[in-house]
Amino acid sequence: MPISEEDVEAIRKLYSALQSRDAVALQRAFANAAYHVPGNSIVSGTYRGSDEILGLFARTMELTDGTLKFELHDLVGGQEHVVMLDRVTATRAGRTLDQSRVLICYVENGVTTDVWLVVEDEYDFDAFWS
Amino acid sequence: MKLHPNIAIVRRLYHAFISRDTNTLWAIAGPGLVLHLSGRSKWAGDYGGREQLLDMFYRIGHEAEGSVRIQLHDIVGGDTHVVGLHHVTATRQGKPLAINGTAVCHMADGTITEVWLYWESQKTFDEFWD
Repeated sequence: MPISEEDVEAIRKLYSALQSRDAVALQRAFANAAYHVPGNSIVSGTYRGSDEILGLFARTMELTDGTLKFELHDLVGGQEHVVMLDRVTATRAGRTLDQSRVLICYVENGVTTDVWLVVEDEYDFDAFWS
Repeated sequence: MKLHPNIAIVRRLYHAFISRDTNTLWAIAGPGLVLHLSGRSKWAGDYGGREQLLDMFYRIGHEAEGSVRIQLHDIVGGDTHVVGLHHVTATRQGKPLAINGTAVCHMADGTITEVWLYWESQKTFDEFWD
């Protein structure tokens, strides 16, 4: 089933939940999802279900002393995907992360099943999370 | 969901690129189109204008012995951004490449002004061209 306006709105709300760290909304949204983080770092890999995905978010927040921030640039939909373009900033152990990202969400029957994170500079991303 | 008209423009660009229809390609791409190739391979960098772009496409095709194939997955988009999701396969000196790619296009007045190309694994892409 092609994605609907409601699906796009649901992803927009998901992003807001991510920014405001709304655990209840995130748990519901990621219950049946897989979140794919690129690269070869301590955060890279595939996280399945809300426990693992929220666990990742909590860990990244902890590792950056709460400095991790996201700013949504644009959010667009198509036949089967919704894509978010954003900017992430954080500091960790004297290192700074400041990158554009692409979050590709696969939506099936109104449910987000997969989120693939694509980063502007994978080497820089790996170095930050080494 | 009603698809944004910018999606059809980028879809035509993909088809023109895949079928090597340069006339259609340049009719869709704005004259000042700049393409950003991420990573650290010999192709990483910015390409502006037809000559630089054609030269780069030609050299990539030549190095991959004409094996580069692009399969379009989905296109999402809105007023200012269109994002193409595609799969690329190629072979070079007996080494295969099979990778998902993301093309983030910046749109202005129905033309494409800037494209950022990213890969699901930058390292895999870069190592292929080593």
